[in-house]
Amino acid sequence: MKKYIENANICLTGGTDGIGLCLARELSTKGANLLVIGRRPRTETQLPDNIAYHAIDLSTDTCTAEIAQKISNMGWRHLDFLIHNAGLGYVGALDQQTDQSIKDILNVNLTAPLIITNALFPLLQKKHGTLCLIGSTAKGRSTPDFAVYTASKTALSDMARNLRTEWREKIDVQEINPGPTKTSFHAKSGLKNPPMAFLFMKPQEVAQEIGHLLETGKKEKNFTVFSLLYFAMKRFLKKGQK
Amino acid sequence: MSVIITGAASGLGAALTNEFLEKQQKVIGLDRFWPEVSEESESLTKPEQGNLIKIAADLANHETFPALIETLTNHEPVEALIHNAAISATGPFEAIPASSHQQLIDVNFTAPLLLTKRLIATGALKKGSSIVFIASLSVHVGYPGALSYAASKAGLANYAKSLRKALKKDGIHVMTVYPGPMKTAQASRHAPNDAKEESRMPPQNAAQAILTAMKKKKSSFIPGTTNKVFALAGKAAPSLLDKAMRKIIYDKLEKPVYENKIENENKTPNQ
Ligand SMILES: NC(=O)c1ccc[n+]([C@@H]2O[C@H](COP(=O)([O-])OP(=O)(O)OC[C@H]3O[C@@H](n4cnc5c(N)ncnc54)[C@H](OP(=O)(O)O)[C@@H]3O)[C@@H](O)[C@H]2O)c1
Repeated sequence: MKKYIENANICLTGGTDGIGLCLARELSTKGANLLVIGRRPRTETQLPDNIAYHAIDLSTDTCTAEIAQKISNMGWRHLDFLIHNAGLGYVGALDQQTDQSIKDILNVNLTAPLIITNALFPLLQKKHGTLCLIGSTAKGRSTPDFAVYTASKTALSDMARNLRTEWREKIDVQEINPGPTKTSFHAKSGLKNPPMAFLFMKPQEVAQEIGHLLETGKKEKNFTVFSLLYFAMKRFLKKGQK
Repeated sequence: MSVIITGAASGLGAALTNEFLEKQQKVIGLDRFWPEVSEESESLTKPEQGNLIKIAADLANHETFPALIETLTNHEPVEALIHNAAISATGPFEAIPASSHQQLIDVNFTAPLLLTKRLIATGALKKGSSIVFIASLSVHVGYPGALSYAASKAGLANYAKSLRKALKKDGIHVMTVYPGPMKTAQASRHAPNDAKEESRMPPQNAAQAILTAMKKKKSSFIPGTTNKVFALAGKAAPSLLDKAMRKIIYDKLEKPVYENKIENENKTPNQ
């Protein structure tokens, strides 16, 4: 079923940087009613003024209640899209990772999507909305240097699978898995110079694709090596034309 | 030889504990409810009873882990660490309160990761030892009606995969077990109404098979032939299995069954 971004009520988490920030701009340009969730104060975001914003750390227990409250304050009676994009990682030796880092990654990447979705279910169900989970193509792989991150995204993917079975006639469930993307995600995770960075997709490219996928309702999208090569080639050809 | 087992007081954990005890091995058993350990007892451990050391530990309470690790590292380094403890929550995803989903992730997923990291960092595991993660067949076949449970197990199984590679150089073996339905109290609390008791595997049989698989240093293990067939089918045709699981399980769940720390009650069908 074709869906429309224009005039849709959309809640997007992690819209203050990287893919999320680009997606916020993309969706807003397409005419969405947008609520962005992030942890920084509004003044420290680059969000255009016309986009509603609420600052809350998604690793806290109270985040669901606050988001539900904010949505109700905005007068929204239903939700067309709920996009879980906020995420963080850790790169380094497994036994050096702090407890806090392990907890934060699981809380933000997995528990937050679980409990926020749980709380917003009635709003999503009202007009057969779409739940969109931003995972990673790392899911399912063996990644000793970022084991907890990959495990969180593998669990998120399992959530998408079973929720799709449970919500068959009620709510669409979409799983979008970006591949390596040029954002500050890697630096924040403790990886200063990621290898093969020249092949990484740009967050604008990923955001544009996500904007498109939301409308098509495609169940799952993986930005594989082939996508990376395809987008790298497009960039290269564009340069040649200039 | 000695082994740490979480969730050792009941179900598969108790069966595993018995298997090790029968082989004259020492078991350091962790559980929330050890009938004999009173909550007021000052130290975590009770004097040794034979070869079983019972430690009361609530895996949802991560603040207690530093003390717990200290207790565990007071003993000799162990030859095996078995992450068996888990809670479940069954019913439509939206019918289970958010705090129950959260508690489940804390116990089934976050706790084993925190404990593993600390035990490795403190050298509590001998060279040549095994770390065993009890996941679930759900990872291969899907499990609508137990959403956060299935997600926690999928995450755990994947973590084990990365850990295996990371610990290879230290000579530590990592195995993931994917049990299907077992004849335990927990499983029957969460099973669909028409589920046949006799078609579920006795935990003793699963425990014996797991010990053999550990000895063979397998990296993954599915107890039982039927379960192995299901897992293969699940890998070959996941969407077919999803449809089947919806019919076999989800559509037949009578009412939600879950734990809730906040409501502070243990919801079971008999209450
Ligand atoms: N970049 C990649 O290569 C890549 C590859 C595959 C998948 N992904 C996934 O794509 C998503 C977006 O990643 P990105 O590359 O755009 O990363 P990013 O630039 O670091 O952006 C992540 C966003 O999540 C927010 N966030 C993090 N922790 C939060 C918390 N506790 N509470 C609230 N918000 C929080 C960040 O806020 P701050 O601005 O305050 O940090 C930011 O808005 C993530 O789920 C990531 O796992 C990324």
